[in-house]
Amino acid sequence: MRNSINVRLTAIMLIVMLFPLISISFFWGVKYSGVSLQTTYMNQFMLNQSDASTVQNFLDSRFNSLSALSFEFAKTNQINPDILNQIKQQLANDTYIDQLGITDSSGQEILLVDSNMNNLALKNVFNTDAFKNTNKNFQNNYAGSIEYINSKPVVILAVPINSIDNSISLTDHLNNTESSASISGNPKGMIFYSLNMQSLLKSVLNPSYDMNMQGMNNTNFGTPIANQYSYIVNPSGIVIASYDSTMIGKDLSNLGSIKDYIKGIKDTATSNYNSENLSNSGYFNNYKKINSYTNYTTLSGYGNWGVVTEIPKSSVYSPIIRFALINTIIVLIATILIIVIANYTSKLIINPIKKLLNAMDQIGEGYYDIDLNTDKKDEFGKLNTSLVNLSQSVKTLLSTTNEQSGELQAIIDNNRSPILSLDNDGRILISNKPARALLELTENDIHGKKLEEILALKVGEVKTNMNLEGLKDGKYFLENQIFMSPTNQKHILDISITKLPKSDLIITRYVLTFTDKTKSIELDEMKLDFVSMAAHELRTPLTAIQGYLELMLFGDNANGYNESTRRYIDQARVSSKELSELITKLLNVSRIEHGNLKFSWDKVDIAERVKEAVESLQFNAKEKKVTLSLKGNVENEFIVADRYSIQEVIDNLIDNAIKYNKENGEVNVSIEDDGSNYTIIISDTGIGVPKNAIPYLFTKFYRVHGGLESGSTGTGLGLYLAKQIIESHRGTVSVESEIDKGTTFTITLPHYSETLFKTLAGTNNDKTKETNNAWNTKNINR
Amino acid sequence: MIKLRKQTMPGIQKILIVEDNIALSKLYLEFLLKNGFDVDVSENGNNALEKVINKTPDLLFIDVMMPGMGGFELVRKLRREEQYGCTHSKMVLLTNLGKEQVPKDVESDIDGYALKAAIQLGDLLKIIQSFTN
Repeated sequence: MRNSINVRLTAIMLIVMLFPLISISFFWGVKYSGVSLQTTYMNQFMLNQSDASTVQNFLDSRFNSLSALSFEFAKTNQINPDILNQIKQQLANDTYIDQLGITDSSGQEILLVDSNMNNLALKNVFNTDAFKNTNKNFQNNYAGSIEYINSKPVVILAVPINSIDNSISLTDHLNNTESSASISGNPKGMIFYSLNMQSLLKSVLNPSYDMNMQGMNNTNFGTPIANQYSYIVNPSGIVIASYDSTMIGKDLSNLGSIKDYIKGIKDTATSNYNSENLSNSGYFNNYKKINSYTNYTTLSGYGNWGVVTEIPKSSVYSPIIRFALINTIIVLIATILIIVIANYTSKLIINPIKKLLNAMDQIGEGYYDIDLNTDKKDEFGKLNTSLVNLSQSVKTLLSTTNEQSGELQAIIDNNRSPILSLDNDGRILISNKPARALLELTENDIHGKKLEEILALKVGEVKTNMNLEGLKDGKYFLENQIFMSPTNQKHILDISITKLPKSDLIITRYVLTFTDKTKSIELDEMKLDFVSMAAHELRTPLTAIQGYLELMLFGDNANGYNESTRRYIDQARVSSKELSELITKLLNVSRIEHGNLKFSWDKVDIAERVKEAVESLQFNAKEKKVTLSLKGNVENEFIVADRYSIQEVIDNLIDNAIKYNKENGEVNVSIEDDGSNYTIIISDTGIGVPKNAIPYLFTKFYRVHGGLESGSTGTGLGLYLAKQIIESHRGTVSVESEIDKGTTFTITLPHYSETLFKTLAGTNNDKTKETNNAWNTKNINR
Repeated sequence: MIKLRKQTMPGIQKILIVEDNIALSKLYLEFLLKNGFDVDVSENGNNALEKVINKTPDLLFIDVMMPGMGGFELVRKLRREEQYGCTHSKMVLLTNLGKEQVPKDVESDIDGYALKAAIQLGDLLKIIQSFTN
């Protein structure tokens, strides 16, 4: 895998380039080896022929001179000075002749001289092969076997001495040797040479002699044939002459080529002397344990000698082997070259690719400052430039993203509300510190956890898990959820859930924001407890004050006061009553918050209540110079109500309309019936309420005019209580206002019905009969 | 308008006021005495228990929050323990605690409830009258 391109490229180049090279060299090799072999065979053959003809000529010329001497001798049959002179000349000319002898017809030598014409001892040679061949059996020329005398190879050449017609010239005699007319009678003896063959063998049969033969070895394809051996065998296959003397006498009749030679002699037995009847044949032999190639040529007329020329097979094939070797070397060099070139070429491609891959790995590991050569003008240069630009873009993008996510994390962490983000499976992705503090988990523990594993909510006493999967995309709000933390801390939570649409780009699916109300609720409770306590503590002395004021006004001494004293006491009583009512309001707020406000449900004529309120407040209106009027048909309009509470609400609203009015302003109260609901409208022409204050108007302790500086009275409880009471009556209260023009409160209350009465009474099982809210008794006989 | 005059009501003669605030207890004492009742005062439950043994009251006005034994405890003891002789006496809680703060068992033991801050002196006579009718 790592170097596959390299390997593949090398393989392809090897196939593409080596295939033709090998094909060509094979083709040429086959062709050349054929030619080379042919040449070798040809050379071999020619060398053999040449060697054979040399031997033949050597012998033929000696026979010719012998024949000439025989002819001359036959003229006289006497050893005369002419003959001796001729012999002397012959011996002087021919240094190869060791001895020369002449016999008579009985085989007795009549002359025997050495090369220096010294007479040697004469003997009878009647029984020799030479005499038998020339005088007894045939009248032939005779060439004997080569004999070694004093380590000198010697051969006996002999011709018969015939009685000849003196009229025939020597030339005719020689040309018509077969003509019986020229030869008459039995031979009269023989004449012979003892011929020294040493020089001949040394020259003809010497390997270096052949090497020096001009024009024979240096053919086009040929190379000099070294180590070739020529030797002479007799018809029995015995080596009779060789440059290597150890070969003499060896029987080679079993060798393939010699066998053929022996067979050839028998076939051509009748034409022994035809010098053109040379035959040859090529063989591989295992001569001298050398694989060799052999030719032979039969000599004609000389005891059927054969000249055998042999060259080692290695010599025959050496040029082919050399050619093959050269070819192999060329192919090897070519292969190495191809591999080197392929390697280099592939590196040209692979190295930049490797660098690119390394750079990409670096980018993958987060190192974006990669080192690539962007100066190159080629495609890799462009690729490198692109990759460097890409990695820089990624770097910039990532750092921007990191900064942004860091920013986001900071915003989330900085938020005091616990925040969680979850993936599609409800697993936690992001949490801020408050969230981890709430869930009492560390950053490592929280991430990847499923929400339901860590946030078990209680509704009442029942533990429930949040089921997010069923939610549709959008926003949800869960109020007052009770969460028990791992260390059993109770938390009261409001939970905002936003389910985001599924997206490929972001994994966040849910965002949860918690509002931990535990502390504020505790604080509220503490406030309420304090209010409740304070109210009770205030009430007791106030009750005493009121009581004593009553005693003063209505007691035994009541008539003793003058008018102004009576007025002072009455004012003190009214104020203490107001104070008492304020305390009652505070307690009512406390009751509402604790869910303890109880009503005595009754069938109440709301029209009468409104009318009574308007009448009772006319006094206050006059004091403020405000016109208070009631409009509409107001009679027998029944609702289900707590008489005392509903009166208080209506009184309060009309009283406010008077209080916050202008001089000469108006307060209009009307009551309408739409068939199922009564609508009480209280509108004034007063100072109005700022728009931004309207949403808070019905919240407790909220005061529009900032209290102290405006000089107006009010506890900020009246409207809060009014709303709570009206809603307890299944009604609604709303407000419209324009600054400096006035404010309109609208109350709607459902008509009386038995069902509604039962429903409302069912919410409050207070069966005690009450005469009023202040006291009640049960008249039970105990 | 309440006419303060000596009068007696059948069935209710002896009244015990259990109230720790002296100003209030004196006010109620004076008002009821003037209306002809046999009135006594205790400043807490413990003191009341001692007093009822000597003189069994027909009616008790009992405050709730008092030092020592409070009103609820006193009601339970008087209503359930015969040694005090008050099992048949009328008991009215005269308190500034809301009605909702009265425990259920006490609520069934008492014969009436009055919010001190909301009643006027004359209401005391109305309460007494409600038992005699």
